[in-house]
Amino acid sequence: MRRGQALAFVGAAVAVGLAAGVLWTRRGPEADASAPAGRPESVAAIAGSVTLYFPGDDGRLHAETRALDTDTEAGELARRVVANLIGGPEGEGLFAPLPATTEITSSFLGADGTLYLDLSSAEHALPPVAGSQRELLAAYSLVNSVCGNVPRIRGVALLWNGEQRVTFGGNLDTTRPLAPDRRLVSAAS
Amino acid sequence: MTHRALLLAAALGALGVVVPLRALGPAPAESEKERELPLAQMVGSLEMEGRSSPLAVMLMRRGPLFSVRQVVERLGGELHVGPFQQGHELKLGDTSFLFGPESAAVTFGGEIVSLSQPPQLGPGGLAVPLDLLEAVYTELDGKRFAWREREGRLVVDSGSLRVLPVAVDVVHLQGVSTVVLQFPARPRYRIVDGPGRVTVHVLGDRIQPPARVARAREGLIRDVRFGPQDVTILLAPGAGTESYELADPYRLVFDVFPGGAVAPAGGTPALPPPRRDRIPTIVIDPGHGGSDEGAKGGALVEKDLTLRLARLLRGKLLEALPVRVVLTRDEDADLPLDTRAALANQLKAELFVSLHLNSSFGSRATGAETYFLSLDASDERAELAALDANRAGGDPLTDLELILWDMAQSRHLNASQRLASLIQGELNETLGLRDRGVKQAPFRVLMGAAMPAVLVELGFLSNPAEVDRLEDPLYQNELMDALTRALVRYRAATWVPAGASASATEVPE
Repeated sequence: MRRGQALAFVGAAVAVGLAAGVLWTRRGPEADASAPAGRPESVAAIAGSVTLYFPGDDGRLHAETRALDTDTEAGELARRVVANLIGGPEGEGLFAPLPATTEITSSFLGADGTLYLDLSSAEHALPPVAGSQRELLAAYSLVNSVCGNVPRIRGVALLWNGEQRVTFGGNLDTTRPLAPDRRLVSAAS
Repeated sequence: MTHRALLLAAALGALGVVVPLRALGPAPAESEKERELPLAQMVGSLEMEGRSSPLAVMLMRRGPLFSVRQVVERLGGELHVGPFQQGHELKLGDTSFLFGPESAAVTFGGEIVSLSQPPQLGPGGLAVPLDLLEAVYTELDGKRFAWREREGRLVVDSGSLRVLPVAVDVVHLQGVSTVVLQFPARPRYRIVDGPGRVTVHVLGDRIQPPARVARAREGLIRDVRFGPQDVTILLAPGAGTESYELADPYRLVFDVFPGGAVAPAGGTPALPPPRRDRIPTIVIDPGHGGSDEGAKGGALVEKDLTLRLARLLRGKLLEALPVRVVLTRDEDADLPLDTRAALANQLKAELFVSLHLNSSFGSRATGAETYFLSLDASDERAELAALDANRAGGDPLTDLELILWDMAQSRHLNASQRLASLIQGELNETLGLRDRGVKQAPFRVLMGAAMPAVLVELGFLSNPAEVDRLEDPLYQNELMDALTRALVRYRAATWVPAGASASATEVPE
């Protein structure tokens, strides 16, 4: 009898979990659509976590783990990762790679594993990343975070205001997709 | 393997469906607008001598692009396509033109010229702008093009080359020989220096040589020879030349000096005897410029300070080394990144040094950083180039495979790393700067440089204390002294006497 009760309890828990999962999956895109573009989404995750790499003032990227719903397709997960980066770090001494006004205009995951990420800002006609260190940290904050959390994505092609530019901020070549660069990550991460 | 650039183009095309291109606010620098989507694509026609053939045309904002393969099939020449369709070689007669997608530069005979827009991969293979076709077929073969967009017709007039009679005078005086080529009108031409010879290629015309040339085998001249479109002056061993033009009547003059001791322009004091058979060139690139201001800190703007420092460095290098020093810009002007490296290539520079000021998140970062190029290991083209850089004794790659213009630097990475280490070491030791180390990054300005090339970040404009130092002329002087010492050490370590087989830019590890 006790065993039967336990089985019934587990069964009920699984059913509730499945229902919640289905409900969440259905709600996901609607919730995303209503969220202001480019703003960080809720991190009240049901399942999963991601590692985000934020620029530090030591010239390195620093890992910050946070809960995030990862139960979605690769392109959408990449978008959530970028939105959380733009939303900024939780830790002290770290910085968001791009201003909070940055919007994710669109993203497109190619069959070769390249994520085409189009960012924009009403305040900045060009990416506001003057200086090579700032430019490198901003770009690879996005690239390392996206590729590190979405295995299908091998590289990120950065676009700004709908254009794939020769460079991101004046130095870094962005005519090709960027692959992650672990050399920029702090050893402590 | 599927062509990466094609994938990129396809993906961008798909993206274009959902991402409408927007007009930017301030106009970006020209270099930042090179990649664009076609306004339309069409199958037009190429018409010549009363016959019409299909021609794939991509209509771009800056004019049409034509399938180079279909043009070559009608107009003649040999077209070779390299791996991944990146490098294209079009050979017409003895002249090879090298070009590729997304690069608005074409090279031929050691020269690099800019195109009105970069070629693009399209349905008919690589599509090229009209000025590239004119550089090939008009200059060499006298063909004239007329593009009638409304009808989608590219009309080619076979034309005929002018015949230019040339008179040649040779004078030998005080150990210097002078060759004067006189034409009835100024021809379009290019000069190609080779070992023991200098050749004038006349573009778009044919040469009618003189019956004879007096004193053509005296002094420093071994002979003067003529081809249908070129004049070649054969030189005595070790001799070097300097050319200039005279008007009324038009003359192209070559002064030939013994031992390569070319007199400097402008009547400046004679330089010390050069160590090689021509004066080596160092190209200094003041980062940013014009509308691209770079980083800012306090009253300092990166584009202004890099120019000031580059001028300072030029003076110091000219005092310290028997070199020619050329700045990529000597004024506050926009200059595309690819043009900076192309200039260094055109000058056959030994070294390329790009000067910058840094900026970071927060205000703590301080010190100097020296970068050389990193190749993204995921890029097949880079892998190919890197393979070549390290290949020794294997099957030789063709010139076409070797010349990937936007990755020209891949063949000089070892030397660039060595140069970067010397510069960083001098900056650290002399100035007591915090060692931020030698670093690698895929910086665009370094990619096309076909010689050892580094980018030096001389301090952080995001750090107020460092801004104060950088404003001090004494500190600027010390920084450029450190760079000068590094470049002197590099040249001392890599100098190879004339006639030695090794390249002066190959640095033993």
